[in-house]
Amino acid sequence: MDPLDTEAIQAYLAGDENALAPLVEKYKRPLYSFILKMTEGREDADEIFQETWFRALKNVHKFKHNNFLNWIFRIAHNLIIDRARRNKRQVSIQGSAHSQDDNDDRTLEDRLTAPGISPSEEVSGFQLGERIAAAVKTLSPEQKSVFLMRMYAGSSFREIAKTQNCSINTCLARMQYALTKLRSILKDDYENL
Amino acid sequence: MTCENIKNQILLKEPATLSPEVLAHIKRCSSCQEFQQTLSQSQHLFQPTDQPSEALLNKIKHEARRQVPSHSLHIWRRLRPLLATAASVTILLGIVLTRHPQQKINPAIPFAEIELLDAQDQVASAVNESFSEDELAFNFVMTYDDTL
Repeated sequence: MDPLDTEAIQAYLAGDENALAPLVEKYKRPLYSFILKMTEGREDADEIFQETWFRALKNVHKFKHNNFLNWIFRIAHNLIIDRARRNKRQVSIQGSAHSQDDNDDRTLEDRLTAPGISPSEEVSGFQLGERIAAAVKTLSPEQKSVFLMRMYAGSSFREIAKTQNCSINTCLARMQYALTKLRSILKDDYENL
Repeated sequence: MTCENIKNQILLKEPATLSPEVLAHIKRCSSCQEFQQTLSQSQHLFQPTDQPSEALLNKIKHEARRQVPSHSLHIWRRLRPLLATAASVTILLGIVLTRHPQQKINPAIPFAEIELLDAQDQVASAVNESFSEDELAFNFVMTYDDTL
């Protein structure tokens, strides 16, 4: 862990009210980018970003992790999973309410995917940032989470496995799949690097 | 080793720490070569660029100032495990000692004086203990037999 992070946390726990402000600044981009790519838009991302920090503040005295960024990523990951579960329940309730009105047997995923357009074709007209965001969206939540935790927080696969409650081998397989898929969608961008 | 194993090694280790066997495989396998290159390029391509608004950051910093733990609370939190251990030991000792009080604490409890009397006198003593001195004097006067 960065010794400056440890110093900041110790100072905060000892009563220095401004000690955590540099950490909020330091990790705003990786944490917010992770949350934004794992959720549906800035409104959701703002809420989760705020809740992540509020939880971190509440539990900072319990912090015994060796990496602060990993710790807040883990809090954010858990909040995202909770929200997704809640939304899934809402979707399923709404889905069952509408099911009597229409006779469409397709799943929600099928309905959301435009037929006949490949992911690489879908992202081709965007700016680089938008292309990357669109490409990441094609990954499953688990693949996305492994990939982004590795890229943005530099988490080890052991830590990611602990967060996702799965084996290291599963995480490695998800990462392999994510890299291969992103490479195929962003082929031109990879080649132009 | 299979390509999947090699790719796992690429993910788990820094390029400089890969074994000669893995390096030799990568050299002759185009799929693993491309995978290694993709990983390295992804680190450049996927930079975290999004950031929250200043208003949101200020809200979090304000909350951090509001929730700052007091110094005494910090000391209390640091001492808490020690105090908890001390309390546990005390409770444990209490349980052990109250289970075997006569053998452990005071094996030689002195006999009450009453137990040294005859059975008949023990009953009389127990009865007399419940009377006041005036009542005992009254009893004595009423039961005194001067013919003895």
